[in-house]
Amino acid sequence: MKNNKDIFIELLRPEYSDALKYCKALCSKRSAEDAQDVLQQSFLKALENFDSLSDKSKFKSWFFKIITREFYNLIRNDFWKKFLPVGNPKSNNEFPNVYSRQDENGTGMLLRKALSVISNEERSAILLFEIGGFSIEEIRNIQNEKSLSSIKSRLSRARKKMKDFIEKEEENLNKQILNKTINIGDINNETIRLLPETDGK
Amino acid sequence: MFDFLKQENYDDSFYKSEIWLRGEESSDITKIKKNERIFIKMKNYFISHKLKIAYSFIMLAFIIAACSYPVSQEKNLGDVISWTINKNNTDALEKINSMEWINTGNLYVNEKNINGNIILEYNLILPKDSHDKAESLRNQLGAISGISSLKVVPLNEKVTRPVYSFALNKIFKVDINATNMSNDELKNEITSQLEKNGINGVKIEIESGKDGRRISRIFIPESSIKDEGGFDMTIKDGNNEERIKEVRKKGSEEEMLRFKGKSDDEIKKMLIEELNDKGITEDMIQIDRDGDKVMIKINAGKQGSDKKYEFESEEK
Repeated sequence: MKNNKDIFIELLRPEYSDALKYCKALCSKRSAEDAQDVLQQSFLKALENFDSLSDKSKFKSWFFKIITREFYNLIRNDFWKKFLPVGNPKSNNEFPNVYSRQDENGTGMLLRKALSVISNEERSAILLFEIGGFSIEEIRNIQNEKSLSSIKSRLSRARKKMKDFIEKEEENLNKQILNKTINIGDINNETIRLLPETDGK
Repeated sequence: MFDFLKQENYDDSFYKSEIWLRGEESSDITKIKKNERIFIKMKNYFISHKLKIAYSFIMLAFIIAACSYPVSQEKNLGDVISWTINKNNTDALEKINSMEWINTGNLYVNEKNINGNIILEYNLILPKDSHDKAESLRNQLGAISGISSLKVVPLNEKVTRPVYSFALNKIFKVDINATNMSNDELKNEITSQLEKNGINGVKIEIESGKDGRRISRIFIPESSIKDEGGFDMTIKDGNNEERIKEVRKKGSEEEMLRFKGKSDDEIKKMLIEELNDKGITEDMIQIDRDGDKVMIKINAGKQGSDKKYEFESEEK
């Protein structure tokens, strides 16, 4: 007979990768260790409160809501750490390193940079939509918002900010490439120009 | 834009997490929960009740602001009994002057010439909490024929500052029981009482009289007393009682005109007549002049009684 933990692991398996992606992207502004901490705390909270989830079909949105809350707690802890030595309670059982080092290409880095320029709520909303595949109604529920329109405008704002940032970054990148090309061209021209002179000698 | 993120795959690390989750005992989770330190609970409380806390702070700020905001209120200082009488009505005047209480309060008498008739306007100020006495005096005065415009008016003032500040600008009362006090203690008591009421730089001399009575001389700097104010001090020493009263009043334009062109002797005579106090003689009245400004000081000590009465008036 399956116990609660077995059921939890079974339900987690299909959502696991998305949950990790969501967690890592949420912490774009922060370190991978923070993402791992958020994930660990989310697992602990989810296990602890799994009994309270009556409708198991809503596991995904329930678990992503826990991740979102834990992420907000992490941010708040930064504030409280200034005054009190607060920290999330750690388990005796050490959490494994789930984020293997992956070399990110230019697009990946640019996207993470763009995610770091938007607010935490905007980042959470757009990641829930894009990575989690949640509907606006589900995002509203996860983010504890009262109206759908606030989620819609949050998504729209996030997209615009990210788009503007990426365009600006690409523009800067193009300028840098262009400058490099001109410099290289000049050197080549000079070399070509010099070649016949040396040949003749 | 998000294709890159979507392509990431962490399924290969699931087995690690599964092992961790299976190794995570529920008792450990409970232990973690129990071990949550008090400030973490506090932190969670603050986070979950941040709106309530914010409102509490706002309310507190409002309360503090409201408490420190200057408010206006009507403050009862006492009662004023006022009446008028024709100066020629000697019978009524004698009855008024024979009343025992006439010299006990702050009595101001103004003389007015109305259509050739000299009218005396009396204003008797009674301290607060003597409203019943005021009613009784009105009844007595009402019985004297010839008195008109008799009325009792509550003396209210709109106060928009602390009460102690208010007292500094008016006459304040000081009662000292010096019966069991040494000379030094009495000096300290008088000084502290006067300082409390804004009169500083006071010099006090105490000496014993021939009859064993203590005589206290109080020297108050001219600048210490407000233009409109003063104090009324009673010192009880055994069976003796000494009263020192220092009042300053700024004269009106009308009063100033009355003194214009008058010599010191003429002013003294006018005052003796107006004050109608048989105990006051010309040598008790001191007149100082500063250009058009006339300063009048009356030092009246009633011989044969234990009361000393001083009155200072400043007329501009």
